Amino acid sequence: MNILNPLPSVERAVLALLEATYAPLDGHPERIGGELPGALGDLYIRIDKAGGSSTRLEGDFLVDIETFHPDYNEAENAGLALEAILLGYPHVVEVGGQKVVFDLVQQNQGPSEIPWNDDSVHRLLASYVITVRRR
Amino acid sequence: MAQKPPNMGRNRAVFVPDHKSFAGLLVSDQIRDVTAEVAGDIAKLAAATSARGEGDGPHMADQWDVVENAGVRKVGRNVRVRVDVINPNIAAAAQEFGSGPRRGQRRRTLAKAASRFGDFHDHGEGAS
Repeated sequence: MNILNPLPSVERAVLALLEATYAPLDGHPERIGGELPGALGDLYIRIDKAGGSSTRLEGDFLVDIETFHPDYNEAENAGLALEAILLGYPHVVEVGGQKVVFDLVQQNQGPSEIPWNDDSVHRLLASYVITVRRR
Repeated sequence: MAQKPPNMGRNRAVFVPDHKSFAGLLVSDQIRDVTAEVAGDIAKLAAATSARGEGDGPHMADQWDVVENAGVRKVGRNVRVRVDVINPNIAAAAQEFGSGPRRGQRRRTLAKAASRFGDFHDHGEGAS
């Protein structure tokens, strides 16, 4: 019986990548995560895996990345900056002592505003397909 | 003495790619029909998996539709036919992407339906 190594959490891997590469997150770990804080007064980046499938060799995951900010331009700037980081694949990040390789990142939808139930906050959503290598 | 095969190296079949004709095929009605058929299947699956409210409607689950002539889209430097699956319901965007803080509000009905007919990949750059 051949038991494969489990694939890493793509959400945690994306979080680690962005924390390491996106300057506004320096010293502000509260600005990124999977669950929104109670109040959105500043930049917040939400990472959410919407689905995916895997094979013996790799996994493809649909990952939505949302940028929230009271100022539309700031939300858009953040979305575009994250897009530039992600599309600069391949990436290697370490999550829980395990190295994670992003072999391919494709964008299904660029950062665009999606309705949000609080008019004081702009939410831009971009959608990516991230291929993670099984190691 | 070994006999030399006749015409060696002179009459080989050589494949000459016809990029222009192939590009034409990929924006043809022939390809559009196939794409529209898949889009129809995606719309049916999205309808079957959409949440249905108890009110009189109109229900989002009944409003999935296919726009066959949605023009073309660019994939890298190439042009392909484009067929859209849409839902005009006012709540469609909120259902698909959520509109509040809870992650569970994001149903991603269309994304999940579409993934059953492909591999999530868009196979193109700059896709939207």
